[in-house]
Amino acid sequence: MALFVSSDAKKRIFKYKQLYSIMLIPLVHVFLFRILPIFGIAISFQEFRISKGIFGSRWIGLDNFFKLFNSNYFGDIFSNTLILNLLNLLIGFPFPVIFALFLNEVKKKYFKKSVQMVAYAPHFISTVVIVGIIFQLLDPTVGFLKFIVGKEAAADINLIGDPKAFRPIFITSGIWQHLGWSSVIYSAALAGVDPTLYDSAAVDGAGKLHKIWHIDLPSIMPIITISLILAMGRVMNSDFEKVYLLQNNMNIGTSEVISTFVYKRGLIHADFGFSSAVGFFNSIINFVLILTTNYTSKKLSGESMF
Amino acid sequence: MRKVYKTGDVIINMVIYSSLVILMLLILVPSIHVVAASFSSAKVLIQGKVTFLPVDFTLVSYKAIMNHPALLLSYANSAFYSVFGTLVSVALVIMLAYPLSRPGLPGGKGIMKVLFFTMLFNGGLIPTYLVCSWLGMPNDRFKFLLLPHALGIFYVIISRTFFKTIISQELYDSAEIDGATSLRTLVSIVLPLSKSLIAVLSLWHVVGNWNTYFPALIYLNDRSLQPLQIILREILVMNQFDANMTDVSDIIELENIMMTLKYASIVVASLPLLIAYPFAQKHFVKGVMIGSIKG
Repeated sequence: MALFVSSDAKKRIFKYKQLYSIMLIPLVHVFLFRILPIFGIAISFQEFRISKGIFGSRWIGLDNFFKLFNSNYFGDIFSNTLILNLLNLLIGFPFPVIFALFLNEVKKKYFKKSVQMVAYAPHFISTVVIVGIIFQLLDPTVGFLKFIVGKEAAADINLIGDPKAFRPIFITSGIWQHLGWSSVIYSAALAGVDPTLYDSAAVDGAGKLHKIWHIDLPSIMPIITISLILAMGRVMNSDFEKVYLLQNNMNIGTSEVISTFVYKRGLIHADFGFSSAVGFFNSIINFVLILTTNYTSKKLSGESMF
Repeated sequence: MRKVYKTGDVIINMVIYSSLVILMLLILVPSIHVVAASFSSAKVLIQGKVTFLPVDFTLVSYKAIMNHPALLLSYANSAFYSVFGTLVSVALVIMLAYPLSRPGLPGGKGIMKVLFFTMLFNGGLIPTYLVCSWLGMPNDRFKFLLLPHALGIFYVIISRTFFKTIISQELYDSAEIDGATSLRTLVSIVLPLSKSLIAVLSLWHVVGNWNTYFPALIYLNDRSLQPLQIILREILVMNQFDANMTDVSDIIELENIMMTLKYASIVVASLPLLIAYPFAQKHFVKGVMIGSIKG
């Protein structure tokens, strides 16, 4: 073996020995918890029994996938996932951008600081608490609705159990929670805009709206593009924590997405092989999506992540 | 330069300021209502008398929290996971990011590629869970700190970029001439120069560890190990409560306590973060800047 490694390379490797030993533990961690599970995907092609293990279980080819595609719920969970996340992206994405552009126009320092302080705060509240607040606010007896539609009418409105209300609740609360914080990267980019651009625009008689449209927006365009690529790559990747918390037997028609299905089928009903196949199917779509959006954006605008 | 105000600009300013004020109200109004409700009695809550100030002021819901052993224990558990989980995570991230930031490390580029790949593609929930249980990770307070979520690849990438930009090759060269080993260089030179990174990493992990419930949902079934968010989920979302929580025999009174306990537990669960938030906010913003340096 030593014959094939030059003495120079050996010296370099010796020099870096300590660096390797520093990263040994994290690398073992990555191997065990990130690489090994990728090989574990093999169980998607098995009739996996935990007692027989991955080497003893029967190989069944693509049967698990056919079972998924032929099932009567496949169309529902697939479209629920896609619709929820696409709507969330389309409706939610512009808000942080607009917020950052607006905030950038505020010249009163204390007002600006207060707005930032308040708008960023919900991001740091846990999903469980956010959902708890949603439940309390929408509760037929103690909620907010009775102030709007009156006590009697409110008692009949159960938004938490309404399949039609699930998506609006999910999306609106997401905007409420993350609008401020998601704008930070845009604000940072706006702070770096060359001020002489504004001066020359002012000389040309440009109004505020012109400056926002022709100076501010183009200067944050690269960051908008990158954020959009990242978001597109996640479009089949639901926020499991929040969907699962908002889910109940009544709204399951719209709230059952792939990740909640995999969790229940796999970990609660211990149907490992099948649920792993469903998860694998979802991972492939995610992977292809992120590669495609990255490639498209590279071609169209020259912006890309990798 | 003399400022000329155009009518169009005045209108735009009005739109901007009023929408920002409305946004603040939309965030503050529900929050203040929850706090007010937590100090009010269930009777006036049902009557719809509570808006932004406590009505029929009472501490009964906070007393109920003190009588809820599972909630108190989970609070202590969450503090444990937040503090020690953060220590473990920050150590793991730095131990991986620092060697990878050194130029010329043989295999470094390949490792980065693998790490990046694992960010885009992973084994998924089920295989990851099976590997973890095969390794005997579930239901252990200490092993929980080492589970997959302990090492975030995203943090490794930004930390590596930070080390690369903040520490020059000359500094490494002079350390090497002085005979400092790589470990010594890390401890005596790199870490002292990376206080802002360490602060930001710690803050992110403390918040993340305090708020997350999914890993605990999967890997901690033992009730004595569960963190706050799991118990909160039972109280807020599943409407469960400990039967021996209180010695109240009257069923209506019990329901009333359950109702106000929800508001109080929302307040108590968010309190540590909200107290620290005004002081930590600018560090979080700084962290986004560190994260957005392109490598």
